[in-house]
Amino acid sequence: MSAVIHRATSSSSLLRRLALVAAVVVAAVAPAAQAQKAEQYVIELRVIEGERGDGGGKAIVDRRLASFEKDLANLPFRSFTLKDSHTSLVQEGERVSLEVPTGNKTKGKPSFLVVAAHGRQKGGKLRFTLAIDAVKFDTLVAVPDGGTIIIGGPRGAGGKALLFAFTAKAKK
Amino acid sequence: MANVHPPEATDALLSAFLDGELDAVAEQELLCRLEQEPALQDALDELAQAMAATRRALHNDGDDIDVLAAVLAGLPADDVADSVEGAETLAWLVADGAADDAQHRRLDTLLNQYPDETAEAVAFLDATRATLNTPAEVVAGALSRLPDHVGARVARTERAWSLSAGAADGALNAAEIEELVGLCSDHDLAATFEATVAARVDAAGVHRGVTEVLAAFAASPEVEHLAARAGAAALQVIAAEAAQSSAVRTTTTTTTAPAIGVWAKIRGAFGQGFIPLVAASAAAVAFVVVDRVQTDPGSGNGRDGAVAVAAIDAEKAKLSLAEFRDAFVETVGLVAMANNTVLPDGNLPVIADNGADVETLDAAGTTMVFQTAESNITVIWVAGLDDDSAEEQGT
Repeated sequence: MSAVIHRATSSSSLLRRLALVAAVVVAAVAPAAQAQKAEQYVIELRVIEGERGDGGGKAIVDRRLASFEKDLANLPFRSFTLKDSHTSLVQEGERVSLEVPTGNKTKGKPSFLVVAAHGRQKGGKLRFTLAIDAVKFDTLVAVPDGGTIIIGGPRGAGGKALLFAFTAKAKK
Repeated sequence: MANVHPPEATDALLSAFLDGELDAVAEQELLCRLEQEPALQDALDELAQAMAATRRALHNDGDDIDVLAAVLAGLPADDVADSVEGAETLAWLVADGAADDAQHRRLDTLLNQYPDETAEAVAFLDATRATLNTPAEVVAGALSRLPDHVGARVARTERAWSLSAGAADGALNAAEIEELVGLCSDHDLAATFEATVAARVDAAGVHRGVTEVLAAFAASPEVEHLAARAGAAALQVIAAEAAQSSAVRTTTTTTTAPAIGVWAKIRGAFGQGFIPLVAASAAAVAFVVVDRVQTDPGSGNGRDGAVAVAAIDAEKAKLSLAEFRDAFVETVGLVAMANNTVLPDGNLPVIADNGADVETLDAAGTTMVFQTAESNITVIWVAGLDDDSAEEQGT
């Protein structure tokens, strides 16, 4: 093939090719090596709808929230229903947006809970920024590996309150 | 003239007759004697009754024990065998209060004769005799108080268990501690306390309460694994419901450095074999790039080589490094991502201690931060997060 002969007989072009190959490999491997140190986290967001009650009697908890039942029972609601659940993977240094309902203030526009992963604290807890720009909410928290934190307040359909249970666990 | 038989021989003959052990000739001879000797007939009747009573007693099902006692009670003291067994027989009579004076004396003789073998019987008899010599009303009074005494004892033991468990968990107040100290003045209850605490310590490895032990167990990998499996089934249900609902939709977007994020996922997908693959692919693409630059686009030489090297079109050959990386993702990475970047199945379980640190918090409404009692889940409650009616949020 003529192209093969042409490349084989051009030493200068061969050097340029080798240099470029080296540059490309370095460019490709460098971020990969950097990423290798970065930890990945499985995050789960459970959107829970709480119906306010008079404070009497035992709250009715969606069976899919059984693991939260005793924790939710402390809150002033008579029932809890799991409305949605998102699971995603986020790497240290990345951020992920999860669409969430926020009710009246956003006037029908989609709202997002933005989760930014910042790695681990010295104590081992996982640091995340959780923000809902549409309602001007922003917090930096550190949760235990596998731990859950609840953000509550937005009002959902029919005046029911929304609770976002955010769980994060390092991916092994 | 009637034959004269010694008494022992007569008893043996009658016993053999009642047991059906005589041959035909001897039996016929005895029957003839019974017709002629009324005393022999009486002895036979008496022996038959005694044997019947003994048989019933030996096959005792309850009430016949009285029959045996009656037989023994009528036992002449001198007829009791000169042995330990004889002493035991008489001891039963004494314990039943059915022994006469002769039997008492005979028993004392036998007990002195076999002191070692009958030591337990002596102690038993001493207690029995003491009881028998005690006025009936005293015994009755003591017996009537026994249930109350046992009940109080049981209650104290149960209370000691309860307080011991509380002490092991460090959950006692001052009054309860004082009560426990009082109960532990009783030797047995003190042992209960020590056993309870020791059990807690053994179970936990360190001195801590059951709650903490259970919490540690709940956080163990085994439990997490089981919970993850249970959660996997639940997630499938949720996913099916989510698929049916178009009202709420999930979008996941990478808002910064999207290429790096995908890149990292591909790297994870390829694992250890990634770097050689990158080098090979980069070399292949670079070969095309260089070839495209050096080769006259109008000639067919370079084009033949490019076609031979890779199926990447001419536009991608002009890309920058970052664009090249994206091109690589498109040509190679998608297949790998589809096969390898599956998220773990199942809901993440709730761990025992979810205590989180809220480092910064910026919210438009009234904010309350607290932890749930059960799993220490931090709750950030923003009363005015959605609208201005903070009071209506129930917080």
